[in-house]
Amino acid sequence: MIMTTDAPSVIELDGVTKRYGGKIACDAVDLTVRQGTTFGLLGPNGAGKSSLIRMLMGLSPANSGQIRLFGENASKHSTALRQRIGYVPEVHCMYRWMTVGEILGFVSKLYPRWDDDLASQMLSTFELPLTKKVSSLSKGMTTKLSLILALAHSPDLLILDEPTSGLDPIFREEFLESVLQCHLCKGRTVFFSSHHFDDVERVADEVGIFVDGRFIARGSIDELRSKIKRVQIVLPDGKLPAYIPEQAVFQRLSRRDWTVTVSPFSEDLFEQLMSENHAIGGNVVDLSLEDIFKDVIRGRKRQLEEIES
Amino acid sequence: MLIDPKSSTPIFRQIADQLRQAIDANVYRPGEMLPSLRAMAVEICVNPNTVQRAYEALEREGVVETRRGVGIFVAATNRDHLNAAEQRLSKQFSTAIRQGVKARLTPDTVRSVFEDSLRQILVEATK
Repeated sequence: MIMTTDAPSVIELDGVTKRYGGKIACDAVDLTVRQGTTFGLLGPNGAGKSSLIRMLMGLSPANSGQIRLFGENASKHSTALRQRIGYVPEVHCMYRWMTVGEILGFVSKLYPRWDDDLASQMLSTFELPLTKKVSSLSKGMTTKLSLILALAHSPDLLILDEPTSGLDPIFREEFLESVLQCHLCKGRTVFFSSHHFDDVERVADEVGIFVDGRFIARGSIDELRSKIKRVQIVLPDGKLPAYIPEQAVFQRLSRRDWTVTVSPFSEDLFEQLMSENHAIGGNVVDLSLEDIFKDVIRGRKRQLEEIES
Repeated sequence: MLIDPKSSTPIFRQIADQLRQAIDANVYRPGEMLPSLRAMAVEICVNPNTVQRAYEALEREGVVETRRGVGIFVAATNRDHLNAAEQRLSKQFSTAIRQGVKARLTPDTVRSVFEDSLRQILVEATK
């Protein structure tokens, strides 16, 4: 369960690029996720998160670059590789005419490592009735069934694409608890995309903010927090900010109150911002992951608008 | 235990602080075993690595001790509670005072703010 930098890498991306017509979904992405790590992929809608996950799953080929899972070329996605991966897609494709019991029986035959005890334990935790038809399950129930199907063969890597979106808070917590209990606590690896910052902060060791096919920030949550901070400056009457550093990611001015989010932050930079703007007051604010995300995304948007205009 | 993922206090810090409060309040007594990493992780729904960091922090602070292969225990009674409380207080004051200094308050203002709130709390306590 303890992560070390010399743990073997489970996911390796090397210059992976994916284009759909003229639109670039992945732009020369490099990434290493080591064994036992939970990696949270964050990004606005349309950033290319699902494309990235589909490539990991061997569902769509990269235009260039290399993807290796457990050291093996992922584009081939051999049967042996499939046995080691559990996948909960954003949109569930299941045989809707089967009952819960039938689909479990069917999928269990595909996996030699299928754990019947784990499956029945999860079924009773989730209160999923075996006799119900898949087509009659609610969205939350379908997601839970999908998680059982992904976890019961004891995969080494679990890939989740927006697993908790559209679920109520209790469903979300039950879902995360199961991921923790049945997978994470056994030292296995998770790669998941999410819009729920609470979930990401709770379970991720590492996060990456993915925008326009690239990671624009990546690291442990603590690393991001110590690197990206907001500085609040009180300007002298009638003055505009005189010194805007190149580290500024996003800024907002409201009367004398100037807030500027900087990356990377340093105490020296803060001192410089104070003195060069002749500040009459100021302080440094630690940001939550959600605030970091918002400021980085807004800053990037504004930057693009400036280039266009 | 209540974890607030939106807080700017890291989650491992939140866990460590709340465990220490629970130990100070005798929810866990000296010499007793704490929940295992995994049990705690599932219970409060956070990554086990984060719980581990909280336990490690508490171990460095002398609040808990690890017995290899057995579990994590509340450190024995010889822990000087007052001394530990004083150190914590000093840490909290440093944070507050640093903010005051950054906001360009004079040392005298900082001192009088401190005196005022101490006086107010003592008055409230005698009521």
